[in-house]
Amino acid sequence: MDSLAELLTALGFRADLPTLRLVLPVGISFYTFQTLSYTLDVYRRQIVATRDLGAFLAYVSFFPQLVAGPIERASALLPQFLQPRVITRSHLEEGVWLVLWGLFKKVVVADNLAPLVEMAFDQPAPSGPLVVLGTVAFGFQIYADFSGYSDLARGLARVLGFELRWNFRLPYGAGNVREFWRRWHISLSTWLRDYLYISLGGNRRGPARTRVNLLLTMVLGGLWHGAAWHFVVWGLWHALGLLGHRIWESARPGRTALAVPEDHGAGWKPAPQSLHQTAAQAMHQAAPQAAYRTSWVAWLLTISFVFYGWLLFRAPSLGHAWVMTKALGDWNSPVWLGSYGVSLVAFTTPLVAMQVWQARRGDLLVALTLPGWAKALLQGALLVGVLLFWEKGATSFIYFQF
Amino acid sequence: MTSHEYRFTQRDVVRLVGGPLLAVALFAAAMQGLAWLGWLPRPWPALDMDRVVLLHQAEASRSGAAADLVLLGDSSCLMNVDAVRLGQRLGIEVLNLGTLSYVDLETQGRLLATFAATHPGQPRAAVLLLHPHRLRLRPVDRYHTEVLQRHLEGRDRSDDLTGSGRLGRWLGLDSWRERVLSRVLPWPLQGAYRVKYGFTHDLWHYLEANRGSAVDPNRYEARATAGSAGYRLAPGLEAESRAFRALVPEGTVLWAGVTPVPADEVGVASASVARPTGDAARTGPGGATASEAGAGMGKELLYGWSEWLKPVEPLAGLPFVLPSDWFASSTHLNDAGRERYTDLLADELRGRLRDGVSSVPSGRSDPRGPRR
Repeated sequence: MDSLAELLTALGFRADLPTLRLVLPVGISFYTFQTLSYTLDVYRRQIVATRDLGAFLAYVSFFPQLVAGPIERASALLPQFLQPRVITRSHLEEGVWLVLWGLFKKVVVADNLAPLVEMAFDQPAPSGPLVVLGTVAFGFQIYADFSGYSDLARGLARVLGFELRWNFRLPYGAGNVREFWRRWHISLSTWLRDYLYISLGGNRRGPARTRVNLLLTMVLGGLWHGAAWHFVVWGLWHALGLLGHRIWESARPGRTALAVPEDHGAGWKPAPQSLHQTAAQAMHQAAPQAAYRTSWVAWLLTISFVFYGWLLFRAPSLGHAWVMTKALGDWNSPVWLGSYGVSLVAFTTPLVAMQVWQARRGDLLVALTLPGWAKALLQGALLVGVLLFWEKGATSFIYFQF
Repeated sequence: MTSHEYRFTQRDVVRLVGGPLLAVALFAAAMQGLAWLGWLPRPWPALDMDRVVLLHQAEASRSGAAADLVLLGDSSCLMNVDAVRLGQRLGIEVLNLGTLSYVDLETQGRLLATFAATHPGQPRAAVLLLHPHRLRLRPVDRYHTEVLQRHLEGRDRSDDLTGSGRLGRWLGLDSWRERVLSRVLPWPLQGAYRVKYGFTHDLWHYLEANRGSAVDPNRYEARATAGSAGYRLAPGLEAESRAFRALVPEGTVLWAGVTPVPADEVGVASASVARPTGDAARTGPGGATASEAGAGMGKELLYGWSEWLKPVEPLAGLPFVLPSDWFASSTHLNDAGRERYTDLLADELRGRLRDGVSSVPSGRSDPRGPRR
C-alpha cells in the first residue's frame, strides 16, 4: 500500500492512504491471483466454469487463506465446496497440530526475531557480523512468519474438512536455487510459472527467449512485493541464480533439469485422504531425486545465495542494501553481538530442529508419528511457548502487506 | 444436502484437546510447586530497560562497590550524571543509584538505607536529584516501585506485580519468565536504547562499568512553547520527601538539586542561553548564563521542596535551564550535555566536599541555604 502510494505520488497523482486502503483491502493481491487463475483456467479449457455463484464466492473468499494464501487453484478448491466434506479423527489431529505449530512459528519464532532484524537493518552503519546475523535472523523470521500463516490456514481448513496445498517444503534444505523455488511460497511460484512464464512462451522459443522469460517472471515476482528497486533487484538476483543453475546443469552431461513437480492442485483428491499422505507426497515432489543427498557445498552455496537475497529484500532501500553489503568487509562488532547471537540461536533452534527432523524422516507431519503421550507433551510445550510470548503483543504477518 | 460428514467421536475430540491441555496443566503445577518449595531461582524480572535499571541499582546498593558519594533520583539523575567522571573530578568514589522509572521517594530512601546498612560508614554524602516534572506531577509508577521494594526486601513471591494477569500466574508463565528466562536469555531493548545498549544483559554490564550511570541516546526535538512554563510542587510530594529524609542514615550528608530543562520548553530562546562551563555557570561574564535565565523558577522550586526534604543544603548553583542542544529528550541530557552537566555538578560539590562533609552539621540547616 505504501509502495503504491509512493508510486502514485511520484507519478504526480494525489495518493490518499485511507482511500487506497478502502480500494485495495488487505490480501487483495492474493485473491486477485486466485480469481485470475480461475478465469485463465476456464479460458484455457482446463476447468469448466462453475454455475454455482455461492461456491465461486466461497472459493474466492475462503477465510483461512484469504489474506496471505496459499493461492489456491479453482481446480483444487472449488470442487471441495460442491460436495460434502468428510472430517475424520486424523483430519482433526492434523489440523490441530498445524494450527499449534503455525502459531508457535509466528508468535515465538518470528515475533521474537523481529527486533533482532530491526537492530541489524535499522543501523545506519552496521558492521559485518551484524549484517550476517541480521540477515540470518530475517531469513528465519520471514520463513517462520509466512509458513506459520500457511500452516494456520491449512490447519483451520483441515478441521473444516478442506484441504489446501502445501506452501512450503523445507525450503532451506534446498541444494540449488531452482529447488529452493520448488519449496518456497509454492503457490506463488507455480502461479507465476503457469500464468506468466508459460504465457510468455516458457522454454518453447529457444534458450535466449527462455532466459528473457525467466528474467521477466522473476523481476515481476519481485515487483509484486512492492514498487521499490530493492524488490526488483531481489527478483533479478533470483533470476540470475536460476539462469546460472540452468547453465550449470546443461554443462554437465547426463544431468537433466528436474521435471516440474505436479502439485496436488493439479488434481484434487477426495477428502478422506490423510494430510499425512499428502505431506509425504509433498516431500517426494519437492525433491524427487532424494533431496537430502544434496552435498554440503551445494547446500552452503544455495543457502548463502538465498540469504543474500533476503538482505536485498529486507533492506529499507537499495542504497542501504549496498551499505550493508559493503559492511561485510568490516568485522568490528557491537558490544552486544554476543547477546544477539544467543537470542538468535534460542529462537531459531526449535524451528531448525523441527526442519531437520522432518527432513530426516521425509515427512512434514512427522510430529504426528510420535506416541500419544509424547505428542501431547510436544503440543503442550508449543502451547506454553505461545502463551508465554503472546502477551508481548504479536506483530502483523509480514505477507499481509503484499 | 449435508455439508459435512463427521467420522469421529466426542471421545476423539476430548483426547485430542485434553492431551495438550493436560501437559500445560502439568507444567503449571510443576512451576507452582517448585516455586513454593523454593527450588526455583529467585525472581529476576530483568526483562526490559526499566526493570534492568531497578534490579541493578538494588543489587548495587546491596553488593556493589564502596562509595563516598551516592546519587539518588529519577531518570534525570540516572542519565544526566556520569558517576565515573564525577568521581574523577572530585577524587572520590561515586555511585549512581538513580532509577529510570518514577519510583517514590520513600523507596529511593530505602535504596540509600540498604546501601548504608551493607557498607558501614558509607556514604559520606548523598545527592538527591529530581527533574521538575517529577516535583510538579509526582508521577509515581506503582508497579516499578513494587518491583524495587520486593527486590530490596528479598521477597520471593509476587502477588500483584505482573501485568500478564491471573492466567499467566496460574499457569506458571510468570515464574518461568521472571525466574528462568530473564536470567538466561537477553531481551532486546526498545528504540534508540536498543541501538546503544542492545540487550538487557548488555545494559546491565554497562551500568556496572559506569557505576550505575547511563546515557540517553535519543535526539531531542525542540518543542518551542509559547510563554513561560510554570512549575509548582505537587502537594503529595511533602509526605514522600519527609519519608525519604527519615531514611537518610545518620552521618550521611544530604544535598538536593533540581535537574535542568531545555531552554525551548520554558520559553527561553536558545540563543539567549549562554553555555556555562565550569564556574562560568554561576558567574559568567555579564551574568547572562543559563542558570540565571531560569534561576528564579528553579530556585523557587528547589527551596520549596527543601522545606519538606530538609537537605543540609540545596544545590542552588546548578543550572535550571540549559541550551536545548545539550538534551536527548525533555528530561535527559545527551552524551555531551551530560559530561558538561557532570562537570557543573562537580564544581557545585567540590567546595562542599573540600570543606569536609564531616564538618557539615548533621542537623538541619536553613534549607534555603546561601542565596546566590
